[in-house]
Amino acid sequence: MLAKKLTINGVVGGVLTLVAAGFFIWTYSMRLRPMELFVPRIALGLIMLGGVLVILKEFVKPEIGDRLSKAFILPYAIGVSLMMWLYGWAFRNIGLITATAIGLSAWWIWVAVRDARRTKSTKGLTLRIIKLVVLAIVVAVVVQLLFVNLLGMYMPSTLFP
Amino acid sequence: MFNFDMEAARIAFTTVFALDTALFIMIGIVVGITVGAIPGLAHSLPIALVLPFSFILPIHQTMGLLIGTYQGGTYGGSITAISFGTPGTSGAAATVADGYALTQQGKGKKALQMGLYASVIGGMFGSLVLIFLVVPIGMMAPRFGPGELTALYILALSLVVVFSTENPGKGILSAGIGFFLAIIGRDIITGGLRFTFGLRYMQAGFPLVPLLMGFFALPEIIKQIHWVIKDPESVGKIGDDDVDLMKKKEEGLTFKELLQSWRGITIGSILGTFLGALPGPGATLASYTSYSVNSQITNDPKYGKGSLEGVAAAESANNATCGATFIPLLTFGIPGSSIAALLMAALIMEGIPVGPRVVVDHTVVVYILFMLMLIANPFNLLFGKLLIPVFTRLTKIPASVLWPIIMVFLVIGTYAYNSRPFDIIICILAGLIGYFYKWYKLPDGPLILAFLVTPLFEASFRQALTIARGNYMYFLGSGISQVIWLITIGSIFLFLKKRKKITAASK
Repeated sequence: MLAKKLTINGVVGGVLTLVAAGFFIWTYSMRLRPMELFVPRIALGLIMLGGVLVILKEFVKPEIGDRLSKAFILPYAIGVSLMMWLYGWAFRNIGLITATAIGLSAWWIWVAVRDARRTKSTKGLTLRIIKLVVLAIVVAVVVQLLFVNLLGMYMPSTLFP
Repeated sequence: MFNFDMEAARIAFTTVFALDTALFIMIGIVVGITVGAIPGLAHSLPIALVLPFSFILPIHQTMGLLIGTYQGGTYGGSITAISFGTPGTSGAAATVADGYALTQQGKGKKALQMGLYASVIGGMFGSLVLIFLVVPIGMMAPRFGPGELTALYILALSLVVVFSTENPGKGILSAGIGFFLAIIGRDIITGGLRFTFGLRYMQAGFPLVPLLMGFFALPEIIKQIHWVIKDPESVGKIGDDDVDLMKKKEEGLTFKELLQSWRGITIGSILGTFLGALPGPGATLASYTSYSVNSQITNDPKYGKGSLEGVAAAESANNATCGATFIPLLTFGIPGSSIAALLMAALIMEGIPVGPRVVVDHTVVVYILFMLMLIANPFNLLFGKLLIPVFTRLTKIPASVLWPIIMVFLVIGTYAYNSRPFDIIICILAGLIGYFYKWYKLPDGPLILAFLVTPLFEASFRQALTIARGNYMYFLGSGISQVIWLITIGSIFLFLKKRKKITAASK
C-alpha cells in the first residue's frame, strides 16, 4: 500500500526537501552575519515547505497528482547542453562565421544523411546538402553582421573569420 | 495631485512618432507574430532573445521592439491555434476549440480575422486603461517607504503562489528556488559571498538575461531536438497542404459578424485587463476565464463547436493583458508575469529604476511607454493582415532546420550580454533548471517573480530594520502597510476557500 503512494512526484519533492535541509543546516556553519543569511534561510525554508507539501499531497492523494512524462530525455538534455558549450567555445576560438557555418552544416548534413538512410532514398541528397550548407553560411554571415558589425559585440581575435 | 506634464508629453510624442521608432515597432510585431505562430515557441522567447539590444539601443527603440514583440506574439499564438488546432502560445489555448472548429468548417479566414480584430480591440482597451489608471495609482508612490515596500513585495510573492498553480506546494517550491537563485553571489549591502562555492565567476550571481534566455529557450530546444532524433516523421509536418488556408478562396469576416461578437469582445477586454493587472494570472488564465464566463451568457448555439464569439472572447482577453501587465510594473515595480519581468529587466538595463516613483521621476519614459502601447495596436492590425500568408510558410520549416538556428542565436545572444563566456554556462544551467520545471510541472511565474523581487525585498527589508533598529513592529507602523498586510492575509484566505471549493467539486 505504501509503495503505491510513493510516486515520482513525491520522491522528487523529498529529494529537494533533503537538499534544501542540508543547505539550511550548512548556513549555521557559514562565516556570515545572521542578517546576510536571513533571506537565504527563507529561500531554503520555502523549498523545504514546498517539498513537504508536494510529498503530503502525493501521499494522501496520489491519484490527483501531476502525471510526469516518462520519456527518457536526459541524454538529449546533456547532449544539447554540451553542443551549446562546444559552440560557445568554438566561436570564440575558431571564429564566429567559421564555427557557425561548420556547426550548422555538420548538424544538417547528419540529419539529411540520416533521413536518406531511413527512407532508403538518396535521390536529391547532394542538392539538399548543398542548399543546407549555403543556408548555414548565410546564417553565419547574418549572425556576424548583426552581433559583431551592427551591435559591436566583443570578439577575441581568431585565426578564421 | 499629479498634473499632466505637457512638456514631457511633447518630448515623448516627438520621440515615439518618428520613423526609427515605427521601424522598431514593426520589426517587433513581425518577430512577435512570426515566433508566436510557431507552436511551442512562447513569445517570451523572442523577448528574451532581443533583450540584449537594450544595452545598445535608446529606450524608445528598445521598448518599441519589445512591446511590438509582446503584442505581436500574443496575437501570433492564435494563428496556429485557429489553423492547425495547435496553440502557438499558451495564451491562445482557449482559442483552439472554436477557432479550429471554424477552420474545419471552411471558415478559417473568418476565424483568423476575428482573432486579429478582437486582439487589436482588446489590446487597445488594455492600453487605454493603463493610461488612465497608472498615474492616479502612481501618485501614491511617494508614500511608500521601506516598510510599505517590504509588505508590498511579500504581497506580490504570496499572490503569485496563490494564483499560479492548482498545486500550492509546487508554487512555493518554485518561488523558493527563485529566491535561492537570486541570493547567490555578493550580499547587496555588506558584499559578503553567499553560496558561490569558491567560484570567482559566481560572485556576480546569476545574471538576469542568461538566466531568462536559458530558462525559456533551452527546454524547448531539448524537446525539439529529441523529436528530430527520436521521431523525425512527427516534426516539420505542421502546415502541410491539408490546412493551407492561403490556397483556398474563403469569405472574410463581415462587419455584421464582428458586431455580433460584441459581448465576447467586451467581456474579454474587461476580464483580460483586470486579470492582467494582477501579478500571476497572465494571458492564459485571462483567456480561459473570459471564454468560460462568456459561455454562460452567450446566445450562440455553436459556442464551443465553431463560434466566432468564442474566438473573440478568448483573443480579446489575452491581448488586453498586454497593457494591463504594465499597471503593477509602473505603479509598484512588480512584474505581473514572466513577460512583464522581461520588460522590467529591459527598463532596468536602460537605467530606469522601475518602482513606485517611476511615474514621477521618469514621466517622459512613462509617456513613451503609453504611446508605444497605443500605436503598437494599429501596427499589429496591419502586419497581422499582411503576415497571415507568410506564417504558413514559416510553420513549414522543419524542426531540424529551425531549432539549431535558434540555438545559435541563444548562445551568441547570451555571450553578447556581457562578453563573458561563463554566462553561456549560466544559460545552460538555467536551461536545465527550466527543463526540470517543465518535466516536474512547476509553474515558472513564481521563480521569475521571486528572482526579480528578492533583491528589492531584501534591500527594503534590511533598510526598514535598520531604520527601526530591529523592531519588527515597524512593518505594521503605517496605514498603507496595514492595508497591504490585510490584503495579503485576505488573498490567502480567499485562496484557501477556492481550494476547498475545487476539492469539493472534484469529489
